[in-house]
Amino acid sequence: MIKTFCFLVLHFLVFVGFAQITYKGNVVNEKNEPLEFVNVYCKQANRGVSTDQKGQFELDLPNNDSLTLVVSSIGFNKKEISLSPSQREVAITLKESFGELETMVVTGTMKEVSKLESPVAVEVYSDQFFKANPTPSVFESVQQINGIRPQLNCNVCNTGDIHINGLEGPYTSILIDGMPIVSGLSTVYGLTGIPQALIERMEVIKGPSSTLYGSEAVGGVINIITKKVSYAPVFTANISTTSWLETNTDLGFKWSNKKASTLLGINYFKYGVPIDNNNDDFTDVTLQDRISIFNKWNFHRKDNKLTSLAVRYNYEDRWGGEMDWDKQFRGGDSVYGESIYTNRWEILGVYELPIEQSVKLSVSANGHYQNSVYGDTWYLANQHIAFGQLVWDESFNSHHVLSGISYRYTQYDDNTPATSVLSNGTQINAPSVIHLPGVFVQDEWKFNNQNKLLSGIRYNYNQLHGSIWSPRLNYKWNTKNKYTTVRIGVGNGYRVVNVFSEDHAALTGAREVIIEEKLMPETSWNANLNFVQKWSNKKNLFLTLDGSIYYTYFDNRIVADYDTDPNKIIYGNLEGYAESKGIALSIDAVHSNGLNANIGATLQEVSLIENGQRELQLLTEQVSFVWRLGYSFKKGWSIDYTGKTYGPMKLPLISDLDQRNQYSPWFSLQNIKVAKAWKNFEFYGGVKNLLNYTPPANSIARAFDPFDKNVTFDNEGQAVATPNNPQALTFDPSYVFAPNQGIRFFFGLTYTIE
Amino acid sequence: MKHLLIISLFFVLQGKSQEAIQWVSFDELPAKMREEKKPILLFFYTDWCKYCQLQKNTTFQNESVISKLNAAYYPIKINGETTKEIDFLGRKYQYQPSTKTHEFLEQLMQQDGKFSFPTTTFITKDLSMVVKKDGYLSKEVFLELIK
Repeated sequence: MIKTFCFLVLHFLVFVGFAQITYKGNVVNEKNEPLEFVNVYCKQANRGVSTDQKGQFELDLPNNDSLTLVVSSIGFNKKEISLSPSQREVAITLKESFGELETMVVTGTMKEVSKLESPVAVEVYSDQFFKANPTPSVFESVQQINGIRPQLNCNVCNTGDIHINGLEGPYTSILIDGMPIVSGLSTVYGLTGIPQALIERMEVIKGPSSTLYGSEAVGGVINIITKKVSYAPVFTANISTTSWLETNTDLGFKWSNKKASTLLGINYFKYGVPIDNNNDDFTDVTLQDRISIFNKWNFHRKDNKLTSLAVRYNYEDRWGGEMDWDKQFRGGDSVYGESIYTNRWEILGVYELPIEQSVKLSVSANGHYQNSVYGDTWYLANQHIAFGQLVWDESFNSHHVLSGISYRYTQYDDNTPATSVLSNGTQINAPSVIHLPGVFVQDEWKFNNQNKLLSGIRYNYNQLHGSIWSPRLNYKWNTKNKYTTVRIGVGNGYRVVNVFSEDHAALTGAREVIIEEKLMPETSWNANLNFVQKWSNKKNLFLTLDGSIYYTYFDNRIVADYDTDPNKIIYGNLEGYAESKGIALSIDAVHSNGLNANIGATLQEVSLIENGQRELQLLTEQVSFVWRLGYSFKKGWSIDYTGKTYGPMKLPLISDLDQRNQYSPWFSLQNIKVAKAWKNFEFYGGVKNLLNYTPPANSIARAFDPFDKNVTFDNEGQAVATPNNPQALTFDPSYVFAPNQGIRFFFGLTYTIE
Repeated sequence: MKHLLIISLFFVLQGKSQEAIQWVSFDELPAKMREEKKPILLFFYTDWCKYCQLQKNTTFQNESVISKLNAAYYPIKINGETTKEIDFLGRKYQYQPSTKTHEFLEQLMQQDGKFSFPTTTFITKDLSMVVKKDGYLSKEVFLELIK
């Protein structure tokens, strides 16, 4: 009897107390499509199940009023619904989620944020590369790239340009996000002031690149890619200084809402304490005070097409000269000083047309105003450039075709004879205006995953020189696993020279500038071969070997003749040809223990061949080595050792009696940086120019008589050797091959909110 | 004796077949998950990123890692530069040309606004929890994580 009673009680309890209700349901998305693999979970019962292919589920749950069901799936917003025993069938709709999924996150080191794939040999330098040797500007940071040399053109004002493979600054095209911004005046004067906080990476192409970039970039292209708004941090601040009190501040902000997102970067750099360590009574390094603002906007469109607008403004005040120079001596001949005020604004915009095809309109405009004085010689110049390009991007079969039209308007005016004409016996100002319309087409033909052929042609019409055709051909082959890649490129270049804005020597010194004949454009042909090989020992090491051979033949180059008459610079067309050729090799290694290294070497020769005589180009090294060794320790510590070694360069001497060395010595600039990352901060510090190398103290000729007041000239205007001038020199600051800054310490900190 | 030789050869060959990770494609995944639920591993890489190459060539070449991944996970590798649509377990993710980012990377690779390569993302078999780890993972660290 008791047994039966217990049996019944048990069954009763099971039936009532532990009674289960089967809930059934289905989950769909907003399009009413069934969703599989959705997790349907009851918190209280600690039980869950997944939906099947029909989006349906069945879940046995206790008979309870206060149950909640959590319905979740990756890619969708979680939903919580309350269950009631009276409603055993549930229908759930999940909404797609966007943006970051809520997850557990563990941050590591040894990572990169850069990407690329192209038939043209492009080297990509991500922010990691530049962090190894922090510098306040793009100009100095490219030093650590194999084959690139930032050259200072003047000991006094430190204006410089970027040489790629031995070719001077004007042969380098500098782009921001693919837009040709820097040209003419800014090649020499506008390289500083690009806020590093907003640079995602730099892409460097040595040699001829695609037809997109125009025909002038014979030496190469440096494309500064600014951060994608979604990849940029919300706020970043970087402050650094050196023992010379060169202080740099970089601020970056990001803001976005449904309609638009924006990136703002502000850079302020100041070096204000004059130093004269070599006792030539001239400032060793130019004093600088500059501010730069960059603002980029991205507008979100329903059709998901691109609309972006960017503005950049740069103001700089720089001066160098005798240690007791002051603003009051500006333009006078009592105390020598070179003072440059630069004002520059730029607007860049990209708009993707609201049509089915991919057609992009890119426009840019910039204004550059320069007020400069070199001793008592004034150089006032302004330049306005407007550029527009319409590109149609179409892919069919295995072809990716880009075609487009472009137009560039360049207006340039200065106070030199270059922009003046003789009219009725008087010189009147005649600003130069150049219209350059063009058409181009380029096809990237992917035969298969291993072969790609890029062929393109660009046509430009120059009102002075007529039709210009620039063909390009690039071929890429790689093995199936992409561990071996070979690239071959051929193309031509075409450049119209502006002597005054490009050649700093044309402005300084006591030389008269003579333009002998009508200067023809510089035309050239270039071929290059690039080889990349990747290898791993399968345990802990990965290596990349990169080698290139290049050759450029110049039909014509504009040469400055300093020798025929030391009191004149004579510009003329080359009666012969010029060559630039070289080999570059680099090895990049990463080890799982945290060590990474990059070593490169470039052997090159740039020479002019006139009347059968070969002459090396001045101020161009034939050998250079560059390296970077980095190691990441635990707990956010890292150390980087960077350096560059240069072989001898032929230097400009003034007279046959000039006692200075014709060739520069081997020298090396090395740096060490130590950094510690802690929470949102990064602290770093180290030493620059570890070996304390500085150029010879007599680099500036006759620094004690900068206005040549005590130089005796003969009837032809040539300096004569006199007891107070035994070497028959004149004041000349162009004998410069290395920065005049010895060893110094630096410290900095970066704060980032992602 | 002959039989022993053949049998041992068979075992040797079996061992050799464990040499590579059996990467699963997005298309194959739903069918596999229906058959047997296993946690999913997503490896985001680019051709250009050295640390991705290092992880591919060292960690993913290690025997213990390979055998554990093939047995206990569905490993999927994703090229971070892809512009193709990704269909992951019923939800389609698109590449957005206006921001040049891919939705899949935004959801499953991004960490607090940062996109870095390589990123290894682990998803539990009931798809309830996701863990993202960026940076190079050595074989020791990796083996710890997949336990």
